[in-house]
Amino acid sequence: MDYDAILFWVMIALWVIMPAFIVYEEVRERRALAASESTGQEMEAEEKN
Amino acid sequence: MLQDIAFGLLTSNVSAITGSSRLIVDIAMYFGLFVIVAMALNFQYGNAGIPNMGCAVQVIVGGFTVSALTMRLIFTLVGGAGVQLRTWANDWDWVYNNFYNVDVTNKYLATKPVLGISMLLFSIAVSMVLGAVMGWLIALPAIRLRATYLMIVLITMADAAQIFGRNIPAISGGTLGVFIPDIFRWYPGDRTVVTAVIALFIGLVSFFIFRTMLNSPYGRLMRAIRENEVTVGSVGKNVIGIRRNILMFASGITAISGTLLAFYFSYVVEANYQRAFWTYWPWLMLILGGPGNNAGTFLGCALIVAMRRISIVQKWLIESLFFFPVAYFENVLLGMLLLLVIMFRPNGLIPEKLLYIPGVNYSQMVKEDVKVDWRGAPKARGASSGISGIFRTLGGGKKEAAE
Repeated sequence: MDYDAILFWVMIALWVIMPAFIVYEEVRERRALAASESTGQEMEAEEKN
Repeated sequence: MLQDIAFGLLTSNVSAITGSSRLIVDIAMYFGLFVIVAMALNFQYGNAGIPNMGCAVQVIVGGFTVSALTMRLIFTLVGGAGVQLRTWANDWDWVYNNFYNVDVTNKYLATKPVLGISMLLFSIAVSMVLGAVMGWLIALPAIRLRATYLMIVLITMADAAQIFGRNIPAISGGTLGVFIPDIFRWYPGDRTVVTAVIALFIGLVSFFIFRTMLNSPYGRLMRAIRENEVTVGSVGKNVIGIRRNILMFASGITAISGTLLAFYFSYVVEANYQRAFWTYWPWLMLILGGPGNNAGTFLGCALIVAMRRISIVQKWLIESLFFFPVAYFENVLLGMLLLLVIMFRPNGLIPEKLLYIPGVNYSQMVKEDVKVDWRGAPKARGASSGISGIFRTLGGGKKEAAE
């Protein structure tokens, strides 16, 4: 059995998991921050009105 | 060049780790090692504001753990099992009988996978403990210092560790170095792929540990210390103790990369743990990616490791494009990159974002507080601004009490 090939692709998978998770989390947090910011702006606008 | 890498990645059978597959494994291994060091540095500097210029001393602890402790333990166990080793009691024998002893030990380890794996786990555990102890030792004289002096002390300590290794053969064979028994000798294929998988796995685990810590209340405390340690101290937090704990924890994690490097090369010499390599490159990764966020650290790490390894391996190709010698091309290229980043993107490629805690709408909270302050007592707030305002408020309060 070719263990090197299996481990090679495991290595590539591990290499891909971390950036994929980081990008997913980064996008989620930035969206949540943007939503939080827009909520604040809406409240400010309501106060002015 | 890039076609070669893509070709190696997509089409090769990888039955033997050669050519472009070897380059990919090499990049993956160094990426795994550097991502551990850079994440730990981001934990210390990016989030707690501790400018640790002594990453090399923590990495060197991991390497010396393998050469000074693990190897002696393996020799003792193998000798106890009846294998005839040459004497390794004094410095001379330790260095000059090393080749023979490691060769005999490797033959024994070829049939003992459990012993090999247990030695790996032992090395990682001990290097973490010794790394944390080194962090504590570093913290003793240095943690009370201001940033500039702290950096100088840590740089000096990194150099001192290398000098110890160079002049005490019992640690890592002095200037000659020592070979390390191949704990993956039982594996039928290429040992380097196994170490690369382990390095990437530990990098992934350490990423999740750091991420969890940074999202916890302790992470917010760290950021508060980075922003203003006097304020944090004034509300009763032990700033010195927290900084020491951070340094100890990050030192323990960083030491793992030194251990893995020793097993990757199956060789330890103090010259493998140079300050330039294990301190300045991680700092460049941090500055390039953007301190204070894991995404930036990851991006900086990936870019620099890939550029560096490819520019080293493909130097013959790069040399044909320039009229000057390219012996130090990667250093020149990445030095220029550092200057450009500092000039045009001082916050890094991915700047630090606002702190986000799931389920908490901070801007709404802040605005509600402001609304209460401004609407509830607008005059009192206006009157109480500044020291004169305080006296005015106190005076007004007395009048109100008299009325």
